[in-house]
Amino acid sequence: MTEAIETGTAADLVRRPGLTPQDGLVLEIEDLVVQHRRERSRELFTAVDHVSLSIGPGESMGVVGESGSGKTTLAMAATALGAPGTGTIRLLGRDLRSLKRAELRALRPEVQVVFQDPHGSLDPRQSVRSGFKELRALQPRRTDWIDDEDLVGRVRLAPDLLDRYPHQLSGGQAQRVCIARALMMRPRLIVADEPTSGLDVSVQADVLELLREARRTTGASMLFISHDLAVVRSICQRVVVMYRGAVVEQGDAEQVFARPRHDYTRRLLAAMPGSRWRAGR
Amino acid sequence: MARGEALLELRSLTITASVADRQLLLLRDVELEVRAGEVVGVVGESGSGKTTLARSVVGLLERNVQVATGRIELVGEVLVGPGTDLTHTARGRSVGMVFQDASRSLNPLMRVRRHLSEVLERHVDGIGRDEVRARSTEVLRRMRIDDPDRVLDSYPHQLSGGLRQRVAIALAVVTNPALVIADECTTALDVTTQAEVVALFRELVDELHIGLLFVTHDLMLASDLCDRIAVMSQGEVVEVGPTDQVLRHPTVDYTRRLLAAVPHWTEGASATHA
Repeated sequence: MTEAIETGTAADLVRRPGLTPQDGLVLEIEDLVVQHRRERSRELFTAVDHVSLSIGPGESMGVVGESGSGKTTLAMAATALGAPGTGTIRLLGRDLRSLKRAELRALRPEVQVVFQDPHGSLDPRQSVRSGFKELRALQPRRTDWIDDEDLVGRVRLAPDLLDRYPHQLSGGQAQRVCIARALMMRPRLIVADEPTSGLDVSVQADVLELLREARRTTGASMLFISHDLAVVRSICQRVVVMYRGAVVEQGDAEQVFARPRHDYTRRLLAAMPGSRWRAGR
Repeated sequence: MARGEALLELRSLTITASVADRQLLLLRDVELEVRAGEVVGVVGESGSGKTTLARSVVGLLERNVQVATGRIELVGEVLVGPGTDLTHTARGRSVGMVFQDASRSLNPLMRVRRHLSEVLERHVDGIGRDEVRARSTEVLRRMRIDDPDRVLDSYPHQLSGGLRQRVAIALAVVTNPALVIADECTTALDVTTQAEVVALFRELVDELHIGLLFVTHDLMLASDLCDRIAVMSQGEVVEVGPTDQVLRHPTVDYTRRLLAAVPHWTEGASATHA
């Protein structure tokens, strides 16, 4: 394959005829329970509490909640790094718990993660180009569809940035590099964990547009973790609201934000900054 | 302090930093004032100079930073003029400061009670033990803390992030300063906690008639709390005015771009998807 799959809008993909919901699901989580031990007291607490959700092809799902709500633990469960806790995690129809280590490894490139701190996810000793080269060596066939120059072009970076090191990149540029690295793998699922939280608002707008476009052009699904309801509403079709490890509400993003049913969702919406600005808009 | 009286005045303030052999311009010709009973938001992206502005008032800038021109006046007293070294100590009695990370402004080895008593004993001449106790309890109640005794007996790590930030605000206001400066003080908090802290600031300003200089990267947050907003970019105040005016009728492109970058949100009604 020499070109990214151009598929039209994600909604078209979901509605693509011949794709039954059952075999088409990219991610299915059923009754997931994950417990962690607290660092200080060593007591056990439930980070993810009987959570079920599913993501179809091309679909973008937002997970909102405050710190400690379990949203990152949930996201990490989708990365095929292992199958934490109890419950079922199916990625592209494969049950992660039943897979051998080698099978799990083969499945891993299908999920790419974009983290909050882009500088933390890049090796400081590697230029952008040599970082790309390393990834290509790991997955030669998966990555040969695009060359380095085209790839950075897709995330709106100039080709001369290829020879820079992470410390020579701004936060926004470094996050674009991370998105490029994810795109290179042609993943079926992009997990984005607070990808714009450390960025200035104008840079955030660009990065969100880039993620939207990445989803559009590759047909990848997205699991988007954020504490920012407005950001989630701008990029996700469906949303899951988490509170203390449990999903308190989920559904169509517009429905949930316009007509929240759970008290906690209402509280989150009421606490959103900018009510004065929106009221007069 | 009477409402409306100018507390803080920055007049054509230009601040530079010496780095290697070069002079970097951190603030250029900044004009700003904060009156009693008023919240002034200083909004800008990273590197815009907003933190330099906040820190210049409390003398917390690095050694290589100097005032090139202009002055800072606090309640009519000149704190900083040309040639002064910015290491003045207006903090404490006249200015309270709240930082982003409350856990770093609190000493992990000291209970909350001792934090408050140290500040009171340093800044209130001849204060007695009973008064220290009374004012410590009172200030925590003012912070809407229901069980002040438990909090007073706690170490910082035993408190939630929201409570720690309330304690940090209590430390900033316990000496009844005329002016409080808050630098990104809700950035690390969850949105519901952030909303509580913002409501608390509004109460403090309205009840005590202090002036509040509220520094934030979040224009929406500033719009909820502030009476006036100053927009900063590249070391300059590019726009300043009443909040509604800045939001509805921005006069410079930079403000328009900031507003345009805020994700769209329609109250209740459905928005369209890309």
